[in-house]
Formats: sequence, C-alpha cells, structure tokens
Amino acid sequence: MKNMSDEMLCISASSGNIYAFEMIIDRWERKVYSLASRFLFNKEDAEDATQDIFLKVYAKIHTFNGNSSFKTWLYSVALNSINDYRRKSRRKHSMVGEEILDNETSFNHDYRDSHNPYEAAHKKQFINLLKLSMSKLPEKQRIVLILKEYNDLTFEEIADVMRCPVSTVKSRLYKGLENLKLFIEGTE
Amino acid sequence: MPSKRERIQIIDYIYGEMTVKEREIFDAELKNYPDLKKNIRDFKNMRNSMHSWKESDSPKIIVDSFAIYSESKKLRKAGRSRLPLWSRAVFVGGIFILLLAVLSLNISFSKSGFSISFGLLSRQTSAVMTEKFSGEIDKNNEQLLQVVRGYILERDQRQIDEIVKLIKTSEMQSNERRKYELKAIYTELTNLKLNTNRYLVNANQAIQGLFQYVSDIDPQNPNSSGNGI
Repeated sequence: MKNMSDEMLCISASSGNIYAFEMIIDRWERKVYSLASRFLFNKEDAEDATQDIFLKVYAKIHTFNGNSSFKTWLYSVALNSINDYRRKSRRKHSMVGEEILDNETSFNHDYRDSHNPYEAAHKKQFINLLKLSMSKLPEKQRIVLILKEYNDLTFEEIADVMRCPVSTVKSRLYKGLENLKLFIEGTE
Repeated sequence: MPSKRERIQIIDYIYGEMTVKEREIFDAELKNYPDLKKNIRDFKNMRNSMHSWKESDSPKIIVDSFAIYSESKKLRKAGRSRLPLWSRAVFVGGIFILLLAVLSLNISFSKSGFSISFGLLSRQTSAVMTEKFSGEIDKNNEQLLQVVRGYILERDQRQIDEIVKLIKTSEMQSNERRKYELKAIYTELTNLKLNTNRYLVNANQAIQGLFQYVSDIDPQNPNSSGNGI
C-alpha cells in the first residue's frame, strides 16, 4: 500500500478501507499542519484545525473525482476548513494584532540558534512583524504567498486550488509581496 | 504600479519561471529601469526574510484518526435522523398551499392593470369577478367539451384502424400458411406416385422372371410362354 498513489489511496479509502485513509494521514498531516500553522499563528489552533481538516477529508473523500490531483483537492478542503475554523474562533474571541505576536518561543525557535542576543531579539522582532503584516494582507494574496513560499506549490497547482488562471495567481503574488513590503517598511 | 503583464513578468523573473533567453532580455531591460531593479531586489530580500519564520517541530501525532472515524459516524447518524429532502419539500409546499387557502389569494390581470388581493378584499371582489367571467367560463367549457369529443372520436378511429390492420395481417398470414401446407401435400402426393410406379415396374420384372423360371422347368405348361401382366 505504501507504493500506491494518493489518488489510488483515495479511491480505496472512499470504499471504506481505513488503512488507506491512515496512509493518507501519514503522508499529508505534517504538510496540512504546516499550512494551518501559517494561517492560525498558534500551535494549538493549528493542531485542532488539522484534525478538523482530516475529518472533512474523510467525510468528503467520496466526492474526489480525480479531475484535479489529490494534492490540490486536499489543499482546497484544507483552506476552506481553516477559514471555517477562523470564523468560529473569531466568534469566540476576536483576534487582535497582539495575539498574533509570538510569546511562545516554540513556534519560531529559529532565533534561539543565534549566539548574539541582540541579533536574536532583532530576529524575533522581525518575525513578529512579518506575522502581523501577513495577517493584514488581503485573504487571496495571503493564500498565494503562503502556498508558494511555505508549501512549495507550483503556480499551476495554486491556480487549481484557488480556481483561477495562473496569470491571476502571479498577479496576486506580486501584490502580496508589494503589500507585505509596504506594511513592514511602514511599521519599522 | 506596473501593468498585469509586467507584474507577471517580474514574478516569473523572481521565481525562475523564465527561459534563459527571456531572462537575458529581461536583464538587459532592467538596466534601463533602476526603480524596477530596486523593487525586484527588495522582493528577493523579502522572500529571504520570510523564510526566517520557521515552523516549529510539529507534534509526533497530529491527527487522531480514531476520533475522526467516531466523529464521522456521529455526523452520519445526525444526517440520517434529519428528514429527507423530498419530505421537507412536500412539507413546505403544503404550508404554502395552506397559506394560499387561508389568505384566499387572488391574482388578476385586466385592462385596469395587474392586481393581487387576498383575505377580505378577495371575498368582496369575488362576486364581481364571478359575474364578469361566468360567460367566459361557459364558453371555455363548451370549447373544452369539443376538444374532449374530438379527442375521443380520434382515439376510437385510431383503435378501429388498428383492429382492421390486425385482421388483414392475420388473414394474409393464414393464406400464406394454407399455401405452404397445400404445397407440402402436393409434394407428398407426387413422391407417392413416383414410388408406386417404381413398385409396379419392380413387381412386373419379378413376375416376368417367375414365368421364365416356370417355363424353363416345365416347357408343356401353357402359361410358360405368357407375357406376364
């Protein structure tokens, strides 16, 4: 079963084979978690959202018809699910800028590697600024930026996920980078 | 703000989506646009900085598959207990009809214009409406009756035609069958006649042989010189 393609596993899982679904989870949970963490900025929320995403994937797996690749289908389901999760959590407690800022060192441990404390502090400050700026980006620009920069999707795959032409994806990416640059320069 | 085509070109350049030739042309163009060159450099720096936001170590077990299966079972049960779509549609339709009946909705369109009335207003206007349209209703009934009569006549004629056609077909079939049977009998009789002739010839030959035998044994016998049958 390990050599089976995602699409074959999907067919097998939709006919009730839970081992096939376990295999899908095994292959994709880290990538999905990574995606969720970039949108939710918080480890617990990212874990909960990942659980929700796979619950939705399990419920919807029979609707996967092979018109697109499993990867892009999964990312579409994941993005919708993350949106729902954010809507729900916004109802519970409205997210303010400061909550995005990282107080828990576990999430961006990279700056701990730095030997120079000033450099480390600067790096931490920049990452917080980056997160804050990302949260201010228009939704579609943020999705394109995250899928491209942190999830290594091709432009064609992003276009498939977002159901838009490749040229639109590139245009959104340009605007996203530009806005991000403006936010960061404006805040610094 | 560059045009959409330019934006796409810049992204292709930054993300290495250009061919070598395209890249060379773009590099040559960039020399004439220092602002654009700076912008691209900023974008590249921005991309590098973005990667300083590293993801933390993800937990070893992120997804609890057992919880997924049990949760999905619950969802399915909840889905099953809900009324099916068709029964909900019937229910809504019933309510709508009931409302129409209660409100006595009346929709009319005349020279004076389009009007909708219901409840008491509808009851007040119903007498006027009945008088106005009673003649028309009679006329419509007469027309409807004619249409129904025409339809029945047409249907009867169609049935008669079908029966006649059926009879003709069966007659033709029985004639064909009779012809075939007669032909078979004729063939049988011809064969019988041929066989009878063959038996007669054989019998004649046998009798002649017998006479020959008798005359050979007893030459005094008057029958010995007979010609047979």
